[in-house]
Amino acid sequence: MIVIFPNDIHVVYLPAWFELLCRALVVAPLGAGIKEPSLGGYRKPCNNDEGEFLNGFKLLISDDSCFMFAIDCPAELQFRACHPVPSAVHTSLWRTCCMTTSPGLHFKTYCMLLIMVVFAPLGNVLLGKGMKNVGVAISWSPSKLPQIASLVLTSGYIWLGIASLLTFFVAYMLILSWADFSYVQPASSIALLVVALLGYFYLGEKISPLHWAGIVVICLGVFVVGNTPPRTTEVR
Amino acid sequence: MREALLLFFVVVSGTGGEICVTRAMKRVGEVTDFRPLAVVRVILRALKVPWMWIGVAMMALAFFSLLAVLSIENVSFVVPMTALNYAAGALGGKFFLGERVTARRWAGVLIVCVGVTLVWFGKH
Repeated sequence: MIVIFPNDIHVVYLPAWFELLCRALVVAPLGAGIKEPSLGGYRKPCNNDEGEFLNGFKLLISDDSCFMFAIDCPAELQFRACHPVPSAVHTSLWRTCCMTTSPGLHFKTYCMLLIMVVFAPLGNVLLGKGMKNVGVAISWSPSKLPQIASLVLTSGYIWLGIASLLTFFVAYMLILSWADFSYVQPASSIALLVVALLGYFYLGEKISPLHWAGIVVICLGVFVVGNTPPRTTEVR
Repeated sequence: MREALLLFFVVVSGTGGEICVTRAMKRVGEVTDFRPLAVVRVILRALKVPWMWIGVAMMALAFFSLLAVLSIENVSFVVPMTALNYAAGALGGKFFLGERVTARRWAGVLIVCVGVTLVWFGKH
């Protein structure tokens, strides 16, 4: 599976088996009573202003910097991929397909964010713990690499870490199928804080006040990077 | 010093890999069919594009560098450092993919870099 963000547009390729896995693992348990959105699709940027159907995706607007498409489904689940905000000319079009909020969708989004900010840090922490058991990389010599590789591949922590990161990735893919990237990115920066907290409490790592300050500043920076004018998250 | 080099690989190789894969997939063309056989065909087509191989190799290098640096440094140090991906992504997007990066995004990248510097000096 490949996730690409050309020109800040999220484009998601999902193999069928992965989509099935996502549905079984995450959407099915969470989605009781909620119709799931279609999982991704792909449209090359083009200069065509006409609406265009592509495998269930309707291209609504596009120009050289952004495009937007929606799937043929209830308005509250329409998938939007547009960044930056469409120009004023497009605003009325944009409104007609803006995501309406529903309690179910909010709940699902928060659940997915929670999964993301728990499993990404957990995965990193588990990888860290596993690698600490393997030994310090400074003493690695090429002749020892097979031995190190076998240590890495037989480490339960490493596999748990990889599983956690995969879980994070599934949640990430799913949330991007209905939420704005510019909403998900700042929200998921909390994961940086969670990593520090897990490192501090679970691994007993020492973190200086300057270090904490740096982490908070990074989170702030990610907020600014991801934050776009409110229209992309406007509700009807 | 070695951890700085490894972190460099994690950030630059990771972002570079994503950019290469982006290029490869753009060359493959749009994917509209997600049935297993069609997906296999797309994968086979993607593997014929050299950018794909370069991208995958770079991503693998980034992952193994991450493992190596995690064996030296604390997780609470390494993960904030990987936030430099935002800077690498903005630079790569601008100079390699010809994307427009807004002033606001540059400001955010700058703040991220300040934070990373603080974390670096908080550690050393």
